[in-house]
Amino acid sequence: MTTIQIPAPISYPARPDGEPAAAERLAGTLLHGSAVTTEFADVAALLSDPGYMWRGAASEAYTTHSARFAKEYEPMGETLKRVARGVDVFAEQLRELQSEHTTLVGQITAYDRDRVALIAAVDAGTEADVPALQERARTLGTQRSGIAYDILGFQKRTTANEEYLVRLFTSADTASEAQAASGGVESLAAAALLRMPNPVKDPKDLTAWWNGLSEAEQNAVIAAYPEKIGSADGLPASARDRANRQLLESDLAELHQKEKDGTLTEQEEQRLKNAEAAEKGLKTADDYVMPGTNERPGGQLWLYDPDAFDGEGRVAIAVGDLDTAGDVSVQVPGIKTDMESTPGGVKDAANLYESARYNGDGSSVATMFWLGYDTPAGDVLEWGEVPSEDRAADGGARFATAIDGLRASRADNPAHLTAIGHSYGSTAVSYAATDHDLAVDDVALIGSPGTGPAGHASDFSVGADHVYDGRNSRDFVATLGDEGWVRKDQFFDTGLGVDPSSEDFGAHRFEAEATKRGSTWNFDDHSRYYDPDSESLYNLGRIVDGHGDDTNGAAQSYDPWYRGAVDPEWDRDPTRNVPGRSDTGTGID
Amino acid sequence: MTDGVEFNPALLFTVIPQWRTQAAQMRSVSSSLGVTTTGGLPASTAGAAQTFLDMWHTTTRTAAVAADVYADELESTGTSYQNIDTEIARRMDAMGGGVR
Repeated sequence: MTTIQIPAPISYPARPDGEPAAAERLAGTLLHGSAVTTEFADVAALLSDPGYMWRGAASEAYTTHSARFAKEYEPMGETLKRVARGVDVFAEQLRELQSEHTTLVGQITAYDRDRVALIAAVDAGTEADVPALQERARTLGTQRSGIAYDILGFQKRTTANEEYLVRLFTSADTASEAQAASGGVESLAAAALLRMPNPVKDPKDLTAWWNGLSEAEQNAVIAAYPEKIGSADGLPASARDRANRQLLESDLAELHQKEKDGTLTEQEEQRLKNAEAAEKGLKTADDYVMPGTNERPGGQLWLYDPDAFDGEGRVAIAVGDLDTAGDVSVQVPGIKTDMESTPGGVKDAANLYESARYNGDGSSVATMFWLGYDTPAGDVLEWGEVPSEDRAADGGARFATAIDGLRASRADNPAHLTAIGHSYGSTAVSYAATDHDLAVDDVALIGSPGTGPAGHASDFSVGADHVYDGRNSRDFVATLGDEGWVRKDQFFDTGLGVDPSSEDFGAHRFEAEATKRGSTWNFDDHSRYYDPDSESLYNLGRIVDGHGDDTNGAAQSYDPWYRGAVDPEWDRDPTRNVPGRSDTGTGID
Repeated sequence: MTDGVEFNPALLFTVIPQWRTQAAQMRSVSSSLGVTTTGGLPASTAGAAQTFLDMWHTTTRTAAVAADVYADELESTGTSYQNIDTEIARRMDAMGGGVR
């Protein structure tokens, strides 16, 4: 008599208790409460000082009392905000767990069906069927072990999530906790932060720290210290995105409350404009659906720092998933770009995404607008500011650090990485690639006024063969670079280094003429490199997709001794929407 | 003892309404926290959530009351200054004109 071991049935795990939407509503109520409480403390502090309008012993007594009162309430807004974020993180996790529960239930149901079928087959089988039936039983047993393992992990995470919420509430449920600087900091977060490398010498150290945290610890840290996570080079983009969204949401709640009440300071007004621009840009990325497909790559808020650079702000938003995409590009903008320019930068990123996918080899893509440096705010004609390379040098260092962070976060799954510098951003990228060993695979410069410290493409970390240049022949800014024997910086104190479209520089020049180009040099053509169905966007898409060797080349400009610089592209008729040359899909308005 | 006393009644027109506005806003937050339920949260967390909400309901209400008290006190201070000014003026007037 042969025995066939039928694996035991599996009990259905309980569905995680609670409703994510209800938790999110509570988080919203708490966030609003935190905004009002913060404003209350700010206004109370102002009101405690009557200034020259009231002097004397009574005034002093009032000031002493009300200032102390305002001080007591000062940390309470932050405490409530931290709890609000924590409840949001709990809700997010609960939603994931409930979705996981649905998956597990499906797996158990399928397992049960297979098990019943096996029992029926055993009942009806003969001795000849035994080996096959034993094999089916073994397979089912393996399946059972896998599901049981998943259930165990699922139950642990469910319990951890609920325990987290309890600890979060109890960390801020007394007046003294509410008024403490650490109010609302859940214990797991506090312990995890103590282990965070400080100062960070290498982004890889941060990656290692993050990977060493449990999921519960990661969630707790994001809720308690989003400002430390959102800008931390080396952490996964998904973690930075969650943290930055928390910061953005609470900024908007707080600043809109103050705007409504007319209590915004000048600095806060700028901060609000920056936050609203980031919100708009992020919405563009989140809502983007590649035309003609159902592909919705989603957005990521990789950097959000609205107060940086005296209110100019720092921000980076990606279309696509920076943690998993096979091809990743980072676009560095140029002069006059500040945080309020974010929606336009993200629109360009979406168009580049489409171009890379539309003409691509099927690999996944992410394209990021990166404004992580202090761009010159002046006009091109304000010679005093723009020709200075100081900000490009600083921007290059910052950019290289950011790229090191992206690399470190994907050490096990490296992406093909392209840096694209536009205008003054091309000079910043040149600094990064020349002085800071920029860790990308390809570099593309567009509308470049000069390559800063690099005299030749071979000075770049990627090697000359991976340096590309796009120059619209009518782009005035792109004429500012040095060409041939004329060194503009020596004669006119203009320009930011060598023109990368020139034969002296030795980069691969690609076609980048716009059909709308002007009849002579102008500034409008400086802003047409990301236009849908343009030669420039087509070629940039090919480079981003890892096929820079298959772009449509353009002859380099040159400077004969007997006349001025010659651009062979000047007389060529540009194309638009031509397959294999300038067809980039549909684009977004 | 201070260097002197100075009181500009215009202060009352700017500071008191702001205290009142802040009091109203904190009262509104307090009410909203007071009616927020823990429904929809896991049963195992409801107790902690309720304790938390109760404390914040009380704390924000206390802030609202305090802001109103500041406004009231300032109002009464203004009235006192004006009363004393009026009273002293009345006494000066009562002294009559000229030296006897």
